[in-house]
Amino acid sequence: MILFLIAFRNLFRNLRRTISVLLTVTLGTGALFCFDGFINGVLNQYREGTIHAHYGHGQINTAGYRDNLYDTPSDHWISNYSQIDTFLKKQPGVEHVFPRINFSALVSNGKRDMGALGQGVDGDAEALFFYSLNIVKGQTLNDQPNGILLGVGLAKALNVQPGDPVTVIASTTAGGMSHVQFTVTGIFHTGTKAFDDKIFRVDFRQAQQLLKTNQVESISLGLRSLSDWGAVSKAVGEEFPELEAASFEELDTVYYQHSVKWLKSQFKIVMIVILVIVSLGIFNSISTTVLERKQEIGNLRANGESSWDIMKLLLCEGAVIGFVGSLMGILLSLLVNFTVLKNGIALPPGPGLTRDFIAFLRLQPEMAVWTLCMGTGAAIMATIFSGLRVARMSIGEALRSV
Amino acid sequence: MTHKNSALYVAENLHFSYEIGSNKIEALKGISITIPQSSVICLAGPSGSGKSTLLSVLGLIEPIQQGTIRFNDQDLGSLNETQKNHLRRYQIGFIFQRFHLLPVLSAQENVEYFLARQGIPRKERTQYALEALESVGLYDYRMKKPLEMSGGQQQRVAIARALAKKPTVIIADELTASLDQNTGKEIMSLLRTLSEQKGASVILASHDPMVFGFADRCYHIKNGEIV
Repeated sequence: MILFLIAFRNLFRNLRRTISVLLTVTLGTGALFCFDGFINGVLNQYREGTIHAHYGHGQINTAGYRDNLYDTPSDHWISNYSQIDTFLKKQPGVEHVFPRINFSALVSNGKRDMGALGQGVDGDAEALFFYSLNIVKGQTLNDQPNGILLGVGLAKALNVQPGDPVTVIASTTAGGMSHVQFTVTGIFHTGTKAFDDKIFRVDFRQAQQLLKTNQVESISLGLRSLSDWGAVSKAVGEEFPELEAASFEELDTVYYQHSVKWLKSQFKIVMIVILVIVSLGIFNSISTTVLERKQEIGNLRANGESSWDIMKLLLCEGAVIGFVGSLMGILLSLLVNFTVLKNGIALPPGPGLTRDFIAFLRLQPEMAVWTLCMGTGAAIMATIFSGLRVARMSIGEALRSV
Repeated sequence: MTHKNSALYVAENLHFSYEIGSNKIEALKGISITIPQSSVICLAGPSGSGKSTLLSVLGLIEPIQQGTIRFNDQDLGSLNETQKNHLRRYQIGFIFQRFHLLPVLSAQENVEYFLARQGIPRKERTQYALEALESVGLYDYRMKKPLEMSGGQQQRVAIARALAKKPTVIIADELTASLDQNTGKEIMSLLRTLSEQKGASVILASHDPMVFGFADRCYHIKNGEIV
């Protein structure tokens, strides 16, 4: 107990020195905590951007559909969509169910025909959830009758504007030909030119009408939270063994998974650099403090304290400084987060995304605990390295030192 | 029970040397000395004569490089570090020229600190500390921090701290060097009285002639030898 008393009082012994050490620990741990919050914020926004740009939280297909190439893919589409839709909407956590059909087609303006890739989507529902779609002209698919959204390259090739008519010609699932006339409601881009030169979107019911089918190719899901995905995918697998559910991470390996790994690796390196700088700062400050007290330590040793007793005293002080400094660092981070950074940090689009985004610091309790341990641990380590020499010094040498 | 004529320390043929840069300094050159129980012994001599080194070796601050020391008939050379720590904690009280009080503790806390480290319960150690402070006339200053006291008062706290441990021997190095003549006399008189009352031996190193008058016996040391 008396060790803690001395350790605590020593904080006030040389106030300027203590403030200097505390500031080193505070700023260091604050930087660590903020940086982790920044990483979490960026990854969170990136994840949300990916979910709301492409796949939703996950997608359901017939088993093996994503891994195989078929002569006639429509033979492997989902035929009991209504039943699945009803089931899914009863699942806790499921907020949106998006049926989707991808198909090849010709799009004609009457003068020119262009080969294209069609997406049949529930425009009305998707407009709300997939809010990151970039509409260049016109508006997104809502409830317009026979509305069609064209990729920017495709619209340019067809020389059409919102309000112009186009005809979509496609093979039906039975092998015949079919065509439906649409009116351009809007023009969008995805950021990938090759894609924008080919892509168009129509309502999935009209896609079904065009392809003369009542099937859907896939079902994307919008959940209340990503954490609901496990339970939902398990329920789907149990109820419909012929289906398989894949999360957005599995679906977007190239962009999302790789990007996240890449970013995390970079962040880890930066984190290590910060940690080393912080530890050196703490070590430097604590070393000076310890070395200044050689005579005092010599006196304690002369009166029967062992080297270990001295180390305990120094460690108590290091731990108190580390703990208080780390706590201040965490509080400082929270303060900065709720004041200076309350509106987030504007960042350019992440890999595979097309829109700038605002990253907020996501300061998590477990990271606060980790930061507290790291700051205190670094101070203790610095104390051990600087204290060992003095604690092991012969008593006479310590007493003689100036 | 201590007997003034029985030996507390018996040191024989003590040698001690250390190096400063490439120079080897022989601080003690075969000193033999016997120190009786409950006596005040003064080691006199000019600066650099070896008296402080002898004190340090007797107090186990410096190692016994050569020779033997028996303390209460116990061979100090055979003790391991833990046993030395134990001896320093319970049987030896040190008073240094520069006091070495813990600046963050009050006078009372400074005295109590080593008692706490001896494992003495709070109530008893508070009582011992207050008694010791009272005996050096600093009861009213018990809550003062060292920096709030004069040099003489700090030295008294250092004495109280050494006495409160109830040691067998008090080792004091240049006790009066930082004090003015009157305060030095006062401190020496106090130490002499307390030694007689508590039965502790006192070994002083000093080059101050005033101190010699308070000692039962004075050894003059020159160039590492008793002359």
